[in-house]
Amino acid sequence: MTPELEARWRSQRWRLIRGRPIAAPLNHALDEVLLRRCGGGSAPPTLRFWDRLLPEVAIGRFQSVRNEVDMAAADRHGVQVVRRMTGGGAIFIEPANIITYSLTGPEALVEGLSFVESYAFCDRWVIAALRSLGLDAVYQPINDISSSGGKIGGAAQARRYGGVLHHTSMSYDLNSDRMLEVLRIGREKLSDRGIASAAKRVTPLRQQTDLPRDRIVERMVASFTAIVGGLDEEPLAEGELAEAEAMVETKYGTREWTHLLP
Amino acid sequence: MAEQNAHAGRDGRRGAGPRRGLDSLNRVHGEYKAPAGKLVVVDTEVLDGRLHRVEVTGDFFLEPPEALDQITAALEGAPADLDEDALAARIEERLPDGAALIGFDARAVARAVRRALA
Repeated sequence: MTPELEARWRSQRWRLIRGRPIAAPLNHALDEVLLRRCGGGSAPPTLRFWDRLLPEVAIGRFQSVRNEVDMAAADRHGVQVVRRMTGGGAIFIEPANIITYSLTGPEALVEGLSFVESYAFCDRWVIAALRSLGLDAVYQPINDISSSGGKIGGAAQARRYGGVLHHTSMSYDLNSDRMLEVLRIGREKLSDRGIASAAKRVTPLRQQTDLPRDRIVERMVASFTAIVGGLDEEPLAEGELAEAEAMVETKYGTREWTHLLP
Repeated sequence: MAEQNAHAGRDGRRGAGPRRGLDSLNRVHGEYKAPAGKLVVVDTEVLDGRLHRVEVTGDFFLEPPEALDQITAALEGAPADLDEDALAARIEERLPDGAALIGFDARAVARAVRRALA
């Protein structure tokens, strides 16, 4: 199964998008727009690196916002809270401290794989990139990238509209004091009274390597290019951006969506 | 495992947020995380012996996402004295064909309900 799928990944023309910092809700809306378009065949499979303007908490599709986020602290620190379209746990994000990427393509890219299998499959090039930089990175099912130093990042996936969206955030650096103020789960972890949804301790890449963030991203791009055979860097299509901006107004930027599960 | 502790009645999480006001006094909260699985959180009230205003949340994955409404609907109005098996069966019955629960299952939800009510 896997060799066939790998060949299928190589047979596609892949697009790389990066380099333009945008607001949090627009980043999330773009994921959905690209998923819908890739699923419907009107956009090529895409690897997109997120660039951000401001701090953010991205909560999972099924999380309770009050259980995860101290909204007063988030407001105080100018941290915008956005609900993802994918499941998984809350992440505290400061723009320079997190590396996030999204893969979107036709669902055929993960055909025949279980959800659990496809998480590791979609991130295999990242594990290779981190290993080539000297980290002993491994995939820890269901959706974690880890090393002997600790958890580095986590992925989330949606298979809808004929497409697959797989996005992953990795910690490069961490202002843990700020995170503990904003995320309730952080506080639970400290209190040691039990679990939190993201209970595993995160060890940022910066504590595991001296490399600057850009070098890591470059290596990831090279690793992805190697597995798919070629990657064309392009700007977003005009229509994609316009559609995402509209979706910010109707969904990702609205209180109804953010507080969908209060 | 330490990760499987119950948290029913833990004020720090359930009372959070002044918006909930007096309502939150009657709400109970339970959590369950299966080994190597995801966290399932249940918040509910009990009205006339039945579950009322049930919320199921967590860091699990679910396709299609709207299947969460069926899970919640399966619990709404359920007798509060149902055991884990009966609660899990109720959920399974309501799940749409082809729904994929990743990192949790109907039993994990049922267990979180029982912990909320314990």
